[in-house]
Amino acid sequence: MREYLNGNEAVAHAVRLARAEVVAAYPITPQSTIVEEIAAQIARGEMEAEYIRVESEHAALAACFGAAVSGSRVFTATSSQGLAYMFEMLHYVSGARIPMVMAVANRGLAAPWTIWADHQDSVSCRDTGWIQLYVETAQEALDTCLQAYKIAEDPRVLTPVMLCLDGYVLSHTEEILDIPSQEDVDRFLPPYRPQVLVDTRRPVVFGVGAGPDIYPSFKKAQQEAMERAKEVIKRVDEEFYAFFGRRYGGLVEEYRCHDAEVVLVTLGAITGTAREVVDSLRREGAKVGVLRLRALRPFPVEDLRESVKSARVVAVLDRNCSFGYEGVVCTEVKAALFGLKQPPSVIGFVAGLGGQDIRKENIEGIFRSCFNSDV
Amino acid sequence: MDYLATKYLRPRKIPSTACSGCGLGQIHKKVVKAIDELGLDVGDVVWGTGIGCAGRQTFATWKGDNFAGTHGRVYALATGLRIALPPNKKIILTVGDGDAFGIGFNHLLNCARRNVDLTVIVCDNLGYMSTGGQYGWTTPEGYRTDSSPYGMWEPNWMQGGRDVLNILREAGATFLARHTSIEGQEAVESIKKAILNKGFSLVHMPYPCVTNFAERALGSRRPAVMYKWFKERTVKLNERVDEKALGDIYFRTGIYYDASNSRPEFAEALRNRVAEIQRRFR
Ligand SMILES: Cc1ncc(C[n+]2csc(CCOP(=O)(O)OP(=O)(O)O)c2C)c(N)n1
Ligand code: SF4
Ligand SMILES: [Mg+2]
Repeated sequence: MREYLNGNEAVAHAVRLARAEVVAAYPITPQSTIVEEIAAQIARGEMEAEYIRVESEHAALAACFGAAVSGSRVFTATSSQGLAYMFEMLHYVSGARIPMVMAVANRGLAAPWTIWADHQDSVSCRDTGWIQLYVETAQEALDTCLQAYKIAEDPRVLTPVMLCLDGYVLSHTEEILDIPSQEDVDRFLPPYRPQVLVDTRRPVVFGVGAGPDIYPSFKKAQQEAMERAKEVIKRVDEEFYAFFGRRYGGLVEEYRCHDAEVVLVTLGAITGTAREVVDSLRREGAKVGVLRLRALRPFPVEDLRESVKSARVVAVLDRNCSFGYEGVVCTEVKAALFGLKQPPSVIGFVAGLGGQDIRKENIEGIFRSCFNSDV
Repeated sequence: MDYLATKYLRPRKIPSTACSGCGLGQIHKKVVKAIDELGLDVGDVVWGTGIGCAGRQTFATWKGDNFAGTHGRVYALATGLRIALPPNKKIILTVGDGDAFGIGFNHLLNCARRNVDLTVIVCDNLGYMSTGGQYGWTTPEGYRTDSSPYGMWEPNWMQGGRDVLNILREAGATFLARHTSIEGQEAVESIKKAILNKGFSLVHMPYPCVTNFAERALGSRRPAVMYKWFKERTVKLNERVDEKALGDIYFRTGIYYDASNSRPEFAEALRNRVAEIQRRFR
């Protein structure tokens, strides 16, 4: 079925199709319409789920945790300040290996106050043990949300997934979407079968304490699960393709990178603009390409190395900043390329903070400065 | 420009960015009027805000010092400031109902318990209005909002035998009042008493939101509709009403509890305590 919907509505449809059973959330712009649409779907009888409005984001994630340990498929969504307020629970969920999906409609963080998009909110949660997938279109938001449940619940992964979509640019912008049928989704994503759950007949304990003797083994297991998630993310994307005819490159999506001398690395919606710039520069004969990181965690080291093989320069566009150093993705890319025999030079650009528009001219400027740089 | 505005507010912030017809300006003006009638100067007051309509539309309107908190945290922030500021400086907070009675309630109650010298003006538009009009902690039972299209069904802090002011009183607040924004000088007088109390004061001020609340709950954005609704539901504390006939939420207004200056104020008690302990070591 084809419908004209925005990114938030796309996510709401995906949550319905995934048959999430418990949704808990607190209002925040630009996320709010995701859960409002979910509530409306429940009211219309299109979705079989309980929706609770809680007293804070911290409580939202806590409620999701509670519902998930009893075997429910759960969902929440937030942005910016709300995500920051959840921080404690982020580690709590991932450490307990609870698979769940949270949508983050990306927005900058206060102070100063802003409601506009950048990636500072989710990038600041990079180390919380959640898989982070960044999408480029509303369609990809819908598709990735379905993939995310399958990835999170894979017994080899059991790790929560943050689905990041740029505020407004994706959350509030309509496009024509293909909405899969429930039958197809049911075949792609079978019901959640938790490995351990709260079941009064077989008592278990959640939220245990661990002394220095065993604590590291929990963390090692988390790290190994993240490593395994790389393969699972790729495989799920391929399976999705077999079902629905759409795929997004797994961990990274290349655009004209095969012979590119300059590759621009991006996250999220700005990639669409970058592609256009690549096309126009290619017409002039400049060998340029774009590499969109779909996953920031787990970080796609191998795929990145492969994609920039021909590049002399790798430019990185960050809509976030690690104050005192540089854009976070830039640091990540440098680390991933370190140790190569003839590594490309990496140049970082921080742009588009707090909703500042990144225009074609800006991206063209980035490419041109990379060609002119004699590094 | 109005005399009060010229004296106390930043010209750049006038006119306000609130929707036309919003009742927030009525509260804002009453607070400034109370400050003026107490003879306080721009330098005597530090003005803090939460977020949302209440927070953002009053933020940095004050000519003197201003600060904004994160959602629900401004009470904790103000506690820190109270300890650091000279005791004669007043701290006035204008915050939303979601901020005070929802996400920040824990901090608010602890300020009341400690009797921190703050004047909290809760600008209550009956829900989460800046985020599009979701129901909150004071949304009247049965009313439609963006997130309760079939009517508010969760218990609120206002009906069913509950009153948020009772909770605050139990927690230790020393001055509590309620006025709707459509009331006049009596509201200003209560705000003055709140400011004069050296301890935790809170004035709960329900006001009309024409854009988000009235639109869904009353089916009209016309200010007259919402103001009439408020007028019918503003009832003085000692006034007799036929509650059954009203059969709906109403706001009992006046001074609920006045124990001004009856308990030690937190920052002062803290300073005295530390001094006393230090004396023991001397
Ligand atoms: C931690 C956090 N969660 C959510 C938000 C989003 N938010 C902004 S304004 C607002 C509504 C607050 O309601 P209220 O305090 O009643 O203010 P109103 O807008 O109704 O005046 C919310 C939830 C936020 N800024 N921070
Ligand atoms: S949304 Fe409502 S409360 Fe907010 S400024 Fe407009 S009328 Fe006032
Ligand atoms: Mg409100």
